[in-house]
Amino acid sequence: MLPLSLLRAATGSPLLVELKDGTTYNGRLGTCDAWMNMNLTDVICTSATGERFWKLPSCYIRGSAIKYLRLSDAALEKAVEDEKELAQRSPAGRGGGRGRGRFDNSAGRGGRGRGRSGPSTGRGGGAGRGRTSAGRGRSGGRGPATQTSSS
Amino acid sequence: MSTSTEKTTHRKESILELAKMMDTVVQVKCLGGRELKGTLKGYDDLVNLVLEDCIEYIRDAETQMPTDRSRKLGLAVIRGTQVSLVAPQEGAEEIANPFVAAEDDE
Repeated sequence: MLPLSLLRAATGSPLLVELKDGTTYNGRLGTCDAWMNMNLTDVICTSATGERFWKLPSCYIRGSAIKYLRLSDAALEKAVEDEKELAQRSPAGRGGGRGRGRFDNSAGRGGRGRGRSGPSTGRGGGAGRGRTSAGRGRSGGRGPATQTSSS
Repeated sequence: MSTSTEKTTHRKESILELAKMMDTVVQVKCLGGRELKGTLKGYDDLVNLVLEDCIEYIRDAETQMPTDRSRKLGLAVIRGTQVSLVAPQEGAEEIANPFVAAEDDE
């Protein structure tokens, strides 16, 4: 099971997020995306020292700032169910492939950017285009060959 | 909060609805630990923010905990790559330890 699939299954359930600086946020997961950015609601923020507490009606957390998440058992069960549903809809291997395919279509930069970190959008796009230009290179190679054959 | 079967967001849409928070006071925490508060005047897809009448909360030198002292920054542009948290200030408050009271939670 992919971590982000588990996270998506956890939408609507409570979870705990600890950030890299040690602050923890307990709240209900709203939406999340391919970069693990998330919206939480009814959040209790605890300082890193564990001494101070704040209540926030909602907050947005950057995925890159997260150290780890703790999910409820309900979220895990739901994720397992979602996996089964996905596997039933199509053959097992392709089901997983299509899952990742969806990522590429809808979050193109995120999908390709997974290997590399966020702000490399130019290069990410370049990698995609690079494939097509290589294709053209090959046809260019055939070009002169056809010319010589005609002459 | 969309609950479509796909559950993935379109590339151009951010899950952060900054449009809703425009002209409201927001709290922004930065990766280095700085805490800022200001009126959201502008934003973009990369979560670069424009905050008006921005205040930075000074942290205690040893513990790095936010104190009551602050300094005014005025109109500031916050780089999106450094943002770790964005929260509307409306309804936000400091509270006593909630976990001691409710032992059922977690």
